[in-house]
Parts: sequence; C-alpha cells; structure tokens
Amino acid sequence: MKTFISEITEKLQVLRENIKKVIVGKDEVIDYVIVALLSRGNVLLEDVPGVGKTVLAKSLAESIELDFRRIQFTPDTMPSDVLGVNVFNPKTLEFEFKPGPIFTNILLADEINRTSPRTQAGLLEAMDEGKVTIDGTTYELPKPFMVIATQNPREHFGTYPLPESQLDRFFISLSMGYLPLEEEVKMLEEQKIVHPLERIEPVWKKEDLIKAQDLVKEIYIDRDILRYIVNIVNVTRDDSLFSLGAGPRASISIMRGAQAYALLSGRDYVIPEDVIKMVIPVVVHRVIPKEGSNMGRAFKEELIRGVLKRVKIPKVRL
Amino acid sequence: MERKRIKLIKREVVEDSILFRGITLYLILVSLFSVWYFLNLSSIYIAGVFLLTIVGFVFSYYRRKERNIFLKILMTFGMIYLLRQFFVELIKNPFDPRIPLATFLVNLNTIHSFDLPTRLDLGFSFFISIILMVISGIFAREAIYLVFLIFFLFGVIMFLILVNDYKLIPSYVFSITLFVLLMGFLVFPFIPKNIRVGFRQDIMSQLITRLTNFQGDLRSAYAEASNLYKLPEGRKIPPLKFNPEEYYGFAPFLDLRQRGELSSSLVFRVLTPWGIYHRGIAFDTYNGFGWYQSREEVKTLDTVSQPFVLKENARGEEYLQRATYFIERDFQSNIIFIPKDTERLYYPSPVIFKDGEDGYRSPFELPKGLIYTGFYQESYYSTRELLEAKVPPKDRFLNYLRLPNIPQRVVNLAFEITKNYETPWEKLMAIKNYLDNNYEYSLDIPPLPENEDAVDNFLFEVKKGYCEQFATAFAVMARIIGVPSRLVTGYGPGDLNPWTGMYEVRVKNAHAWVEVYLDPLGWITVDPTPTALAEIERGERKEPVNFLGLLFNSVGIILEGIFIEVYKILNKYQYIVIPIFIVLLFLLVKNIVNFLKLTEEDRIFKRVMKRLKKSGLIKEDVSLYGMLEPLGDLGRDFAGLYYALKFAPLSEEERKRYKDNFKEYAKKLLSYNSPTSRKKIKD
Repeated sequence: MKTFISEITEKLQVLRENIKKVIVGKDEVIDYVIVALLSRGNVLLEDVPGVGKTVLAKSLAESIELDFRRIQFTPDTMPSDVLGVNVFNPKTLEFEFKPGPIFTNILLADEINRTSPRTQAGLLEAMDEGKVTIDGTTYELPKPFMVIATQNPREHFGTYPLPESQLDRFFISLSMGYLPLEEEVKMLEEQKIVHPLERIEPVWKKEDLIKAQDLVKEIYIDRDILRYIVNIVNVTRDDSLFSLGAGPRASISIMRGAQAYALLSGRDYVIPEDVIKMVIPVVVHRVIPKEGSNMGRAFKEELIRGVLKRVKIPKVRL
Repeated sequence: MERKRIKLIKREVVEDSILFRGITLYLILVSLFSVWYFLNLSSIYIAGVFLLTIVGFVFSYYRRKERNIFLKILMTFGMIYLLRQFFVELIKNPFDPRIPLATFLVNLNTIHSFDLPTRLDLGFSFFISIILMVISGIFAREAIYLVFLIFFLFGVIMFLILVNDYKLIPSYVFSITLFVLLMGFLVFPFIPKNIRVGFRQDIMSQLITRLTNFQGDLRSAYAEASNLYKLPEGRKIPPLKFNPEEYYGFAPFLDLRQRGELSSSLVFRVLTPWGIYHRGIAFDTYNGFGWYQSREEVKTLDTVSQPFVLKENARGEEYLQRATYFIERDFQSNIIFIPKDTERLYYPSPVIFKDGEDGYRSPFELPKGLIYTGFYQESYYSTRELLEAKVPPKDRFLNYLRLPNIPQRVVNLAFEITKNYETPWEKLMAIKNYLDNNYEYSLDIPPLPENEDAVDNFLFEVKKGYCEQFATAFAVMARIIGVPSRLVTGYGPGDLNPWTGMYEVRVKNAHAWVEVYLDPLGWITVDPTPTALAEIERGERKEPVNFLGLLFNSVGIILEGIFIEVYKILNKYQYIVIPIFIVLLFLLVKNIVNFLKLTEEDRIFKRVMKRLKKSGLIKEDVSLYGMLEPLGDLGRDFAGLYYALKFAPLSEEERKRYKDNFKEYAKKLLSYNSPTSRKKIKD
C-alpha cells in the first residue's frame, strides 16, 4: 500500500506540473481541481470571464486523455440540448438516442446561471446520480465524470441564480481571480507564439485516474479528525453569523476532500491541515451569512476563517 | 428437556493490574495506620488486620478469575454479624460513635479484601480508606496527622491516575510528591475542628469507673508534705525541692519560697473559641509565706447521666462556650481544670467533688488520653457595673479578709495608693496599676529570707517577681482595703497551634491570679501580673543565641503571627473559604491531570512552541503549518512529524523512528533561538 501510494503521489506531481505549464500562478486552484477530480466531485468556478476557466478544464482533460466537452448556457438552452434526445430514424423506423454533450468525461458548463432552472436541474441531477434517464430509458454516464460549472458573480441581469439545494451538489467552489502583475507578463510571454495548451501532452491514463480515485477512499482518517470536521460544520449551523449553515453533505465533502488532499501530499493518513485546507472551498457556497448576504465571496471566506479559529485542532496542545 | 442456563449476573471486568491493586492496598494500610495511631486502637488488633488485609489481597489476586459465589455468601454473613456488633457498641457508647464506626469499617474492609475485586470493588476499598482517614483526622490533635495525610494523598493521586487510565511515568512521581506535600499543608488547617455546642463529638472519653479511695482530698506531687507547712511552725521547715515538671501551685499548700523555672512539656490540648484561663484551685488563707485552703470539707456531686450541672444557667444555653480538654500526659494531681463559671461539665466519671473555693476534683488522677468538656459562661462586666459594685458585708467573708501579721509599711502603702479613689473597683485598679508600673516581671529572684513576709519582701526589697508574688501582693492589699479576695492557680491560655486549631498548654503556662468579691457581681477575676501572658508565652524565645538565631526567630514569630491571623480569618469565614478552596483544588487537580495526559511528544511540542512564540518566530494562524510558515521547511517537517505521531496508523517501529526524528527537529528548533540563528533560518 505504501509503495503504491508513493507511486500515485509521484504521478500526481507529474500531473500537477503538466497543468502548471499551461496555467501560471494558480497552483492552489490546480490542487483543488485535482482533489475534486480524485474525490469524484464537481467544481463550481465563480469568476469573471477570461481568467482561464476553460483552459484549466481543458488542460486537465488533455493531461489524462479524457474526453472534454463544453456547453455555453443561454436562457433558451433546453434540457435535451444537454442530456440528449430520441430521434426517429426513418430507415429503421425506430427511435434512436442521440446523446447530448453531457456524455463525456469532463464537462465545462459555462455560465450555468444564465439558463432556466429546468435545464439547471436536469444537468445537476444527472451529474449527481451519474446517469441520465430519457423517455424511461436510463443511460449511464461515462466514467470518470466531472462537471466544471462556471458562473459570473458580477452579473445579475437576466440570470437565474442557482438555489441552495442545487449549490449543495457541488463538491467545491473556487475562484481563480486575476493574476498578479508579474505573472500576467509571464503569461503573455509564453503565449507570444503558440498557446501552451496546444503543446500539452497526456501524462495519465484513464485507468490511473480510476485507480487513484479508489485509493482516496482508503486513506486513513482518525476518529478525532472526523469529530473535528463535524465540529467545524456544526459551528456554521448554530452560529449567529449564518442564516443557513452547511449540511451533512458538506461534512462528507470535507472528509473526502481531506483524504484526497492527503494523497496529493503523499500521505496515507489525514492530518488537520488537510481539513483546514478543504473547509473554505467546500463550505463557502453552501452558507448564507446573516448579515451582508449580498457581500462577495471574500467576506464569506473571512467568516469561515473565523469559524475555524473557534474550533480547537484535535489532540494538539498549544 | 434441557434446562436453559440463565446468566443472572453479568460478570464485571476483572482487575488485572498489580500496580492498581498495590496502590489500593497502600491506601488502606496508610488509613489503618492512621486510625490506629489517632484512635488508640489496640496494636495486636491492628497487626491482625494488617496481616489479614495483605493476605486477602494476595488471595484475591490469585483467585481473581474463579467463581466466588460461596465466598460472597460467607462474606455477607460476616458483614451482617459485624453490623450487629456495631449497633451493640453504639448503644454502649452513646457519646462518641466514631470509634465503633471506625472499627466497623476496618473489619468490613478486612473481610472485603478477600473478595475477588473488579475495578468497582477496589473503588469501594478506596472510599473506605477515605472515611477512615477522615475519622482519624477528626480525632487527630497533633500536627503529625499531616504526615499521614501526605502519604495518603500521594496514594490518592496515584489511584486517580490509574483509575482514569492515564499513564504513570516515573518522572511524574516527583512532581506528584511535590503537589501532594503542598496539598497536605493546605488541607490540614481546613479540617474543621472548632465546632461549638450542638455537635457532640469528642465530648468526653469513655467512662472511667475504676475504684479509688479518693474522698475528695487533693492529690499532687507536693500533696503529702505540704500539709505540714500550713501549721504556724511550718515556716521552720525548708521548702520542698522544686520539680520543673510539676507546678507547686497545684497542691494543698502554695509555698511562696519555692524557686525555679518550669519546663515546656505539653500538659493538655484544649479546644476553645479563644484563649482563656483554665482555673484549677483557689486559696483563701495567706500565712506570710504561702497560701492554703482553710476549709477542707468537699461537696460530692454525682450524676446518673452526663453532664454534671455545676451551676444554674445564668443567661441561656446559646451563650455557652465550649472548652474540650485533651490530657496529653499523666497528671500527678486530681484537679479538674475548667474555665471559671463552667455550668455544664461532661466528665467521664460518675462522681466529682467540689471544694469550698469552687474548685473541682476528680476521684482519680487525670490520666493521659482523658477527654472532658466544659460549657462555660464568659463573664463580661460593664464599667458602670464595676464602678457601682459594693464591698459585701464583712461577716460573710471573714476568711477572705483574714491576714497574718503584715508589716505596717505594706498596710500604709495600700492606703497610700488608694486614698484618692472612691469606689472599691477604682481602688483595686489603682493597686494593679501601681504594681504594673513599679515592679518588674522576672523569673530570676533571690530566695525568701526566713521570718520575712513574702509580700513585704516583694514590695520593698526585691521589687521584682513572678505571678505568685504579684497575685499575692494584690490579694493581700485588696484585703487591707477591705475587699474579699482569694488567690487562684491554673493555666494560662497556651499557644494556638494553627495546624490543629487547638491551644497547647504546657507546664510553663501555669499561672496564678486573683479573684475579688464585689456585690452584686460575685467573684471577679483580676490578673495583676504585668503583661502577664505575653511574658509567660514568649518566655521561651527571649534569648536569641546569635544573629542567625535572631533572624530565624523573628521570621518564625512573624510567620506564626500571620498563620494565626490567617487561621482566625479563615475560620471566621469558613463557609466562604471552603467552597472557594474546593473549587481551586478542583481546578488544580484538573490541570495536573491534563498535564499527565500529555504524551512525551506533546510535552516536547508544547515546549518548542512556547519558545518559538516567545522569540516571535511564529505567526498567528488557524493551522499549524500556517503558524510555522516563517520557519520554512524546518517548521513544516516538524509539524508534519508531530501530526504523523498523532494521527497516522503507525507500527511500533515506525513510531520509534518518527519520534527520534521529531526529537531531533525539536532540538534543532530549540537551538535556533538567538537572533543570529533566526537570520540563518530565514536564509
């Protein structure tokens, strides 16, 4: 097991480096996306356009030899545009299933808040259950499967904000943000002649990823750490700071994420640092602050950091 | 048909740890030892109990996995028998149930040690040992109880650590011992000892019915020969040899010619709310060189049930103060020392005697270990009452006014001193002040020359003396101006021992004072000895040997003073102080237990973090990695190793390796503490 872990960790390092070649100065976001992939979770990217969301998703897919599709949502996108449709074939006189763009490994759902709640619900249900049912027939989605959805937090006009129950289905939410000045200069330099995305080579196979995903579940996690996770989540619930706290799905996500993060760091056991790392991206989109609910993401992150300060790290005596 | 076997009782976990049993045994033995010491149980009995308990523990350890239904039944019968015995004893000793209770518990525990203890049973033994310890604590009158307590507390801490499954590491034992010593010193003074009326503990020892031929005559070391001195030619016989262990005032004749210093050996301990005089015997006749009682007849007081009623209650039961005496050495006299105006007396004998001067005598010499209690009325007189008091009619008090041939200059002096005053009380106080101002207290005085009057010699020639001289001079001068008076001997208050809450009265606390009779107040105590008590009590410490001695002495006196004051305050507010103390104790124990819960790596980690924090190498952060970030990889590895030791499923071998690594990192971090090395880390 130990040797197997170090092998996987090494491979994860390679994957990480590979993606880093394309996306500059976003190491933390890359780590989180890899963690989400390992945990079989879906990612919500909350960002203004043009910070490299598509590039991120695409480079991830390219590095692991995964299929990649992208849907741009508009108010008139129908569920069938996403999931697929039965089409009558005049030759065979039968209905044939035309799979939608969802039948892929990595799906980039761009500007998910611009489409109607019905389409949103269809997509999210499919990604949660890993299968699609059309006209009574169930179709399995390919494995591995991951949705990277994006939404623009600055845009309000003509949008359908995702309800809390739908947001809860996302494993983590991330914000890439603009690059620091120096990094942006570097990026320009690299893209002068050719986009680095075109040079990217696959370093993983699909099977490697599935193996790694299975391994994540076997990472040892101490009971005290489980209690720590629950304590943190619990504080968001009965705190006077939040009008809506994180649910049990958040606890599960933190646990799974912490396991994946441990694997990514080359450990076969979870430490409180892993949990601390996972709390903000897992919890931030699931809670509503009591005051200043229209404040940005940074405000919520600050509140959650306050929650972390209130919960004692288990077994550690300072 | 096969019968189904039903398990009636769920068997509890058998205790396997020898250490745990050992500690319990230790606790029981310490408490047994303490009970034996303070309750004066028979040595053979306690030796048997010791042996049986140890045998019982060994037996139960070897048979701990067997069934013991039969044994349990046997034990139950034994316990019922013991309970019966306990009640029988209780009826015999209605005044003090503690000795029967203690023996009952001791016996119970001895039987119990043969049981095959589970953890729970050992807890039972633990509680019995605590109760025994408390009982002996109530009995204890000596600070030596502290030693027992410290040994016991040591065991208690060990027991609590083990019972809570904390690790017992030898290096903790030192700090535990230290803690226990501290606790012992703090706990002992708080054991409440100064309980007043109502709580009938320690009221008296067991009834002594031993027959003697005493018919109320006064017994003392000087008794036999002193009758000779009462005769007019008694003066020709030289004074008896002075014995520093026996005060010559507790004899039928108080010989003012005796000289010598009394020893400081302990006579009795007494539990009183504050320091008081302990009245022994009073004399009505002065013959120029000593005092004696002119009336020899005594009244017999007997009682079927305790207490003796000595006087009718004057003001009400609630004004009674309690004085319990614990005799600490065999007396050669049968004088019962009690406070003046004692109204109720619990004395362990069916009969006592009262002499003509309100002194009380026992039908036997007071033995060591005797306990008796008097309830007395403190007499207070207002200045107005004293000033309005009148000299009683002479005919009733002739023997308190009788004087031998007193030299004329004494009589003249008495009238001279009092001539400017009106009332008898003012006159008496004038005499007292005159003595206070013009005469010196001294234990070093020349012998009384033959044919000289003791008072004359003191007033005009030696001009210094001790309590007998002052008291005699005062009594005689009171008689000259017409006030009935008598000389009283007894003990001063002694020293308060703050550890036990009792006054310790020594031979050298023997004292003499005067009672004068004024209508309508009755006999009033007057102590004419200047700064009497301070001088007597501090006498021992008067000559510091050298500078260091002086230093230690003064520190000692200051400390003692502080102790006594603190003790008084604590006692006054004990209902506030005790809960606070308990809370503090609880917090302290909690902290210590928390500390003991730490593993080795915890302690190293704590130390390193403390040091780093102090030198400002640590950031404030929610996560450990965040805190140690300024230290770079070194900090990260250190934290990583610590986490691994805490949260990783490690094999023994791995754990050892990780721990060694961890220690190495800790050492490195601890050495990186100076400003120069700090820079090195940053680079």
